Amino acid sequence: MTPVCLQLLQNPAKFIENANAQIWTDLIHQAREQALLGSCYFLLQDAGLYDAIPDKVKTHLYSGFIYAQKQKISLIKEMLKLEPFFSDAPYPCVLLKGCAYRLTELAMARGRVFSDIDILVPQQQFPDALQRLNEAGFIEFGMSDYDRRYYLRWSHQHPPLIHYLRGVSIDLHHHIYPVSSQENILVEPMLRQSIPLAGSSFAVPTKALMFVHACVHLFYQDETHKLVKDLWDLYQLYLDAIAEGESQIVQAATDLNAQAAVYYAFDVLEWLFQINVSAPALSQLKPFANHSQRRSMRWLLTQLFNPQSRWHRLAHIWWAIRGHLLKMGPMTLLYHSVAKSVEQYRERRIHTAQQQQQDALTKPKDAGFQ
Amino acid sequence: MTTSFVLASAPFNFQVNTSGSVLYDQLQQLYPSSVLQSTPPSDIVDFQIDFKKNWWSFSQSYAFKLGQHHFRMTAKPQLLSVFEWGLNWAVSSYQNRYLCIHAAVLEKNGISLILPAPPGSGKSTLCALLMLSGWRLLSDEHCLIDPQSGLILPFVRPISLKNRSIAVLNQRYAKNIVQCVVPDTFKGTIGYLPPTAESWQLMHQPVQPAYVIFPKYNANIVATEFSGIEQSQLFMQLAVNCFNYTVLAEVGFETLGRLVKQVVGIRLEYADTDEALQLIAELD
Repeated sequence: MTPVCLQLLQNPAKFIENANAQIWTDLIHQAREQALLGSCYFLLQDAGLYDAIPDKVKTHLYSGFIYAQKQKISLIKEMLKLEPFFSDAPYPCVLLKGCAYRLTELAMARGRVFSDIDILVPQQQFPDALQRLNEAGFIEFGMSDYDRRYYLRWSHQHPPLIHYLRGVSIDLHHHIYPVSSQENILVEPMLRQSIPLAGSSFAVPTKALMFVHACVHLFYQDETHKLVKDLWDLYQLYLDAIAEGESQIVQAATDLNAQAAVYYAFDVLEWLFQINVSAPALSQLKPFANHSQRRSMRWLLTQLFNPQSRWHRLAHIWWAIRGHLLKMGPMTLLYHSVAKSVEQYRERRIHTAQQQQQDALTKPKDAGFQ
Repeated sequence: MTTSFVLASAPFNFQVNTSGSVLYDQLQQLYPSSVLQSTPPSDIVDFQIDFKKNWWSFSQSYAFKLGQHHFRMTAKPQLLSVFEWGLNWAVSSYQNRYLCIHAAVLEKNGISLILPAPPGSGKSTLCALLMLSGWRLLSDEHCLIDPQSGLILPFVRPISLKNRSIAVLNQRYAKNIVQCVVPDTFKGTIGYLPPTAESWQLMHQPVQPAYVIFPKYNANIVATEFSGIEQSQLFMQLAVNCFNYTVLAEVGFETLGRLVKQVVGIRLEYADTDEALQLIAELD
């Protein structure tokens, strides 16, 4: 069983023809969960089908569209504020993911929402970029010592930096994949081949590299709550990248040493969106992939998509363990799991006490009146 | 045991799954059977809500969730008030189809009143008194303006009254007119006044905006102030009382601009409630 949200993305005309009240309810719910309301709005507008959907559904897709439009304006304003702080940076500052899609004006960025701005800089210049962001007002907020150590030791980014007034969040990366991983994904081509944005201190990856980065992000990740959104992003990025040539995708995969991730991505996109990948491209990527890994990917996605499956919960757990293992290896994962559980227990106790204090402070003056 | 029900409110409806029947029993005192339905939904549902105990938690707390979006945990005695706040949170956070002003809305003989005000100004008390003197309630919390038509859509729900205002209402009308009183919430004691039959009957009928009144109860004032507000000031005061003015951006600006040109803005500061009600009754 495919989630209704994915069914709409796969074939909107057929979906509208067959939908009843319950299916539309599920669509609103899933699209809101997956942050896909705005993307669905544009998909239906582009297909000339928006007027064929019920008004109640329009209300929510339109709400998603409005929210994404507002985010677009906020992002551009934020980038303009950042410009002067990076104008003399003697190294590439590459925007990644949602921010890059939006500033490259990819069609898929319309209606898409994102939670933070991702910036990649060379590792040697990481402290300099961090200082520039601090000067621009982006600082670390309320993170436990353990989480901070986790970011600095094992991840590929600094702990999130949040603007002290505007609340905007920036993830500063020195790599596109956790350094604790045994996978040898390379980052240099993302920096070397980046395309400067006209009139800006920032750059964006090529379309092929954006697609390959999304493949890496999806197939080595441990979260499942935005899976449909990630798959839709992947398909849309594929369409943009393939327009510039399949060979460029294969080259980008080779450059980043991410052939396996791209092979699995092609396999899933063939299955879900019926893309056609040429035999030579597949033969170049296949030697790096693992047949059982490919099969387990498909099996896991099938179970994750089907809440009625008796393997559904297990698939969630398996997906999380698999993603974590790829990121950090078994011994580090064991240490992390124990340490994080203790940390979360402590944090929850502190958080509850703080919440009670806050609630007491927000009571009106006559709150004791009976 | 999970209880499932639908709150067939307009323009938004809710499907709710909750542990036990406590919440459903309380809501039956506040919502008519045409709105609170125990049968599965026949229409498309806007918001699917889980308000259940976590099976893994020893605390017996209920968690209000819209999908994976968590609003608040609560103990059983405060179930009703957190539920009502949760519905407000879902609408004010996730809908941008309508411009949403934090205000009460009432209507009588085709004349509508928008009462925006910060908490503590006596907005809900005045709204309750007006409803009980024959105005129909459109909302106590959300003034939903359709950017296309410029009309206000009703979103009829019980009026939430806090602390002293519960006693004011009970003294003025019958004792216990305010129902389901919940003590010890983080806002103090909360009680609910069910909308009148007329308010429920007309819950699908929008109104044209006419008056915007900023009420402020002030026991220390000698003479009641009932004065006009300039359009520019009115615009700004409404903008700061909106939930989604900044999100709606250009649409928000245009909708609010059109509203301000259509209405008369009034500042009302009073100590004598009867005089305030009389001044409002004389509007035409």
